[in-house]
Amino acid sequence: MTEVSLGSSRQPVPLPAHVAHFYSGPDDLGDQFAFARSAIDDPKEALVLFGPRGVADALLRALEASIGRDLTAERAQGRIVLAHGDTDPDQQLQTLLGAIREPLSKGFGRVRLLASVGWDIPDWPPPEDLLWMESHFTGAIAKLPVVVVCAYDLTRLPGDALIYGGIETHPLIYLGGQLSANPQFVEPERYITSRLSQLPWLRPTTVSDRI
Amino acid sequence: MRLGSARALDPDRFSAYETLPARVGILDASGTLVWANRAWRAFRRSQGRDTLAAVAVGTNFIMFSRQAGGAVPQLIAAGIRAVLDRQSTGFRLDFPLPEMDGCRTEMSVAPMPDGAPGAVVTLSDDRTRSDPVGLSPRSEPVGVAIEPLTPRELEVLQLMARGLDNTAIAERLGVGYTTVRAHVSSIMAKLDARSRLAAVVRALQRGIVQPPTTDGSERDAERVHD
Repeated sequence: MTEVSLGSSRQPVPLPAHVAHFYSGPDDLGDQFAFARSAIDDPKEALVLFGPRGVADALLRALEASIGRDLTAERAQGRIVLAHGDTDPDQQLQTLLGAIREPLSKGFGRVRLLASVGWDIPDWPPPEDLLWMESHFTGAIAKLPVVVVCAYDLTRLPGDALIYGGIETHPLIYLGGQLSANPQFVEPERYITSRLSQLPWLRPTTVSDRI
Repeated sequence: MRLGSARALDPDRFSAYETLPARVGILDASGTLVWANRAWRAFRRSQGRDTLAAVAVGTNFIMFSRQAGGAVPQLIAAGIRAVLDRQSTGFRLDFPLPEMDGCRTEMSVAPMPDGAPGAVVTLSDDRTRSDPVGLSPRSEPVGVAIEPLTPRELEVLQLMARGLDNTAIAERLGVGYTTVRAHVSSIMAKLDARSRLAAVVRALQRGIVQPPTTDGSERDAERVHD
């Protein structure tokens, strides 16, 4: 089985993989930079940075600062691809898949995709549609040589995003420097056909009644 | 309606509230709704989506407040919290419900009688100052969309309910991706849904489409085509 390394501890992760990475704010980006740096250091790999509008550019600038050099050449070569989200979850799914396929079509053997997760923000799918997309994504990348790390900021995202998104839609979790199989992962088929319609904020008459 | 824990709660204690036309709910000290009268239960059943009136208390209220913006929802939540914490002896508020055609609601929140922990929430609608024919947007009968869906839109909606993405739907129906995308947008507009999933949930609630089967017969078709 083909593997790549993940995070500062360089833990092996199989290809393809869809990983939820829980981190604690802008001072805790070391593992994300290590993940991205591995792609930059390996000429066979490409890197996709994804997030709400403007976030991928900010991530790139932060990455350049962390490694101490400009990455314009890598962008020009198509080794680094920046993409941003869309209010339409299906379009966001297509954008992500397109961003992965673009460097593969140029001959790069593997892709690392680092996605910064937003929640209930402009130019981004509504929460339930984001979850629909996240759940679809595991199946969508099943035949692609890609490791997708979805970064969930514990200091900014609400519990709904962490639980229904981070925990329930990712087969693997990276937390505190450890990669683990996720026992709370809900298989995409069940998640899409059963779980999504039961999200608390979509239930009309069975809402929880806590203030 | 799902209520919070009703342990140590004597239902007879609140029987006087049961037949009142106003909606009356009992909150425990944590803010959980542990009892609601007939009017409140009927109102909640009539709501197809979260509105300020439908979620006057609850986690959905907080979610709704955040999405809806404005000061009223936040004020209500803070006021209820103050009553529960015994920092307030109650309040009364008369406010418009913009999502209900100008209907106004009077809300009162009072501490539980006899010094018991919790609060009594009373909601009373006043339609006299609103459009006389104005109805709740959720008052349409089950099975009817705000605007009728075309047969093709119904097909697309049924496949959306099975979890298919637009590419898979396009392949299934033999049409283009952009055509499906246009159908999805139209369905969302007709069902007054802010999201793809909300449209599916609303259609299921109204009986417009059937819930997806769980016998696996559609399994292959439900996978994403990459």
